[in-house]
Amino acid sequence: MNQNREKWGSKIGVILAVAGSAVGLGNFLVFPGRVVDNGGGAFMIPYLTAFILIGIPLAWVEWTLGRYGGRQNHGSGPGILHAVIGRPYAKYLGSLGVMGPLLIFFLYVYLESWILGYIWYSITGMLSAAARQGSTAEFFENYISMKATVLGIPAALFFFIITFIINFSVIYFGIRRGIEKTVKILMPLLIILGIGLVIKVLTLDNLSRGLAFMWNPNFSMLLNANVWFDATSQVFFTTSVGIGAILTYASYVKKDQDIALSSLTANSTNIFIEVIVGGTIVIIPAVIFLGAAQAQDVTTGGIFSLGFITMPMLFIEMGEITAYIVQLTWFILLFIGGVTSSISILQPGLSFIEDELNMKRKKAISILGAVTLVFSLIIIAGGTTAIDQADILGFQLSLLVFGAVEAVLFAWVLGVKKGWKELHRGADITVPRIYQYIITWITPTFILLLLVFWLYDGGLRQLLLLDIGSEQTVEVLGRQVGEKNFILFLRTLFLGLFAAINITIYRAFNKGEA
Amino acid sequence: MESTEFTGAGIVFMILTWGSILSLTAYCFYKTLWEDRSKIIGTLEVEAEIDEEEKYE
Repeated sequence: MNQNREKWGSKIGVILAVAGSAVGLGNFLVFPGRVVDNGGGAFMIPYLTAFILIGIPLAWVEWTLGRYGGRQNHGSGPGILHAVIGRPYAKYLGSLGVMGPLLIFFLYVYLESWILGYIWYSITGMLSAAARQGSTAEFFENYISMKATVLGIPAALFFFIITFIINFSVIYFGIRRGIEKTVKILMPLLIILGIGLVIKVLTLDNLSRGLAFMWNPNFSMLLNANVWFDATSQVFFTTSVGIGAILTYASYVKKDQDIALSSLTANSTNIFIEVIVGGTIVIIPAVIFLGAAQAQDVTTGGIFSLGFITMPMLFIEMGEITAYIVQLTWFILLFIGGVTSSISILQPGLSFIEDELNMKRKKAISILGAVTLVFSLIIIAGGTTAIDQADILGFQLSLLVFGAVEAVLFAWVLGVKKGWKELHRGADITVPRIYQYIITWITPTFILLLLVFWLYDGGLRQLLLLDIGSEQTVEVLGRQVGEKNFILFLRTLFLGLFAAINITIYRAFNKGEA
Repeated sequence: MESTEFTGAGIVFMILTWGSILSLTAYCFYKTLWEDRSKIIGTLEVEAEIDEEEKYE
């Protein structure tokens, strides 16, 4: 067990780190589409309800579990759940808090690198040129299919390597000198850039059309269960709970340092960026420049299409110089959101190796770097199919399951009374007592329902590959292979990694290293 | 969804949502920075002390 664990240098540091973990591509590219699809302004009713009943309490649960585990020198799911619950199965349940973020990182770092590439293309004017010709779709296709090059190597690979190095450089310096210093610069910058873009959008002509599209309520949609499911799932995914990142970050909080107010501050920062920044800078320009019908298509047509194909074309409508600045700002904003999230999802794996295997950081980073590099390259080689699998298994299934595990263990195994006391240790605010009932009954029930609904709504079909025909093929490294076989191959690799994590847990805890 | 005039209901929704989120965020940061100052956790002096300690580790 690692006895010399770091601590955060300041409360603002951990708040910005957790907020950074939560703020990501989804705030800007998923949230707008969900609002548009689900009744405009009226969507905020289920959204804010879910924020109050799930987002806020589940974040408190994860911060509490994390700080408690950190007191016992554990910084990742296995050790933390073992410390909190003390039953033999707890550490294996906790392995999801290592595997989940790893799966997410394999794909997330690649997506993030696209944004870095697009920053470059924004600076050089190549993206604007493509937008003026209406060929941003082709531009994007050239990029992800490795046809575009930089210094003779595929641009997608080139920027992936740089992004990978950036991420590992940050975590190499640890919690205080690495992550905390980074987020103290990047998060205020993100907020300033976001506010700048909001102000720009609010000065566009025909603003009221865009505001009407976003905010005029369609109350009839509230009778649709899917709207409530979408709102709940958006809040769940935006708050970064269930990944294990908050668990890990909280484990580095001093034992008597407030987490109640810190959690609420991080949560509110994320919601501010999602609703006010994300909800303004995408939909409104889309409506103003494309019209309502097309705006609805593009905001709900997928994050890649929206972020990399449509938005550059919207910016061009603002005039050449304004478009240059706005486009560059947009991609820098996305990149900051991406980096602050990706470093947070690397940290659980690093903490697991450092704390449970008692390894020094340099060696731990080498191991983590090797594993993530290999799997990320597999994802890159596998293209959209591999990205989809990492998304389904990591971003969706693992998150929901681990989130449910945390909520249930806190409420029904550890017990809310004990958890409540721990939450209030050193607290700067008193959490309203009604949250005892919410955390005991409503939050776990909601998340379990969310998991069931996800399975029912297509998740199970995706897991069982029911929608993929045996004759369907995909291109992998220039060769056509059976899609089903490729997915099964990928899943075998992921299962192998998951097994390796659990074997490591078994050996670490039985040899007394943990 | 058809684009229409920005209705009174839309204005109310936007103001209420923005207002509550901005208020909550501002309150949280104000309270955080105030508590930090009073508990001397997260101040520059404390960070300098931690830096000093780590130099000798």
